[in-house]
Amino acid sequence: MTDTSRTFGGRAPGNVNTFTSTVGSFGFSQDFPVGTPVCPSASVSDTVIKARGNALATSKVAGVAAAAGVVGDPTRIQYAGPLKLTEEEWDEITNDTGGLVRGTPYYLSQGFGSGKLTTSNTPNSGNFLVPVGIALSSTVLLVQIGAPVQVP
Amino acid sequence: MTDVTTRAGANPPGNGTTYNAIAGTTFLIGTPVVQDPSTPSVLPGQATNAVASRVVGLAAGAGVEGGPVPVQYAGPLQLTVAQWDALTGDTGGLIRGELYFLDVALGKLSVNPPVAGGQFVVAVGMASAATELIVNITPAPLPI
Repeated sequence: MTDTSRTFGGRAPGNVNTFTSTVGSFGFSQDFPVGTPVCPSASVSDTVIKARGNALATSKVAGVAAAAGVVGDPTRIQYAGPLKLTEEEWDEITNDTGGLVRGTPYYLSQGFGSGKLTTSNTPNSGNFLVPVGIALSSTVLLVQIGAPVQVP
Repeated sequence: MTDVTTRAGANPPGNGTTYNAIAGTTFLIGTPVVQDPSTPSVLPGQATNAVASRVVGLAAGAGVEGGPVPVQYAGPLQLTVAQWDALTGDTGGLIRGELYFLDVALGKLSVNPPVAGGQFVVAVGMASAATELIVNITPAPLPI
């Protein structure tokens, strides 16, 4: 069962705004790195999988992984507040270099790869625009998740 | 650099859902703030453009340029009636049950969302009492 108890004590890189869930598998969605945006699995209770903005079900972002996820194991998911990772860890999620761009909003990516973030707020028609957070620095994302909005 | 250490325990008027930022200018307690893209500091928000409407939280302390200021990004924020009135332009504090939005005036809040084209509707929280706002920021990725 999903452990929704709060994580006190500032265990880096998470904070009080995390919950614990089991990592599920879905198609090509398998293990994932820290910083991955995740959504609830539609087929298996109390599990999360990598999110992607190309379908409503996978656009319902529950949080950002505050630790790497391994299928079948529990991991911590941060649903609000500052999440600090290294620039390299963020680069793996954004496919950029130099970490996050301060003051810039990040959105769920619709691209071929699941579990990615992008600064683009212009997904293709039929896909979903989902705000995930705002960068406070090159290493800190303030997780701030919005509802998915389908692009006409 | 922004200190994102969480503040566990009930440090009034913030709580465990604040982080410590640097104030880029002087502003009132309760001011909705945004991350300055060009410096590691926060500035008052405004619903008139994309950058100024990216609210990261409400100031849980008064901002003094160059000084640290706690920013509350979620949860109940309790201020005095007078402090809320200074932000809303109203009298008698917040209106219980009302949703408050980032205003088109710099660093202000309003129960009336922006309506003009090109502006951004950013809900920042709901009033639970005349003195308390439950901070719950809804980002607006696109303008009206």
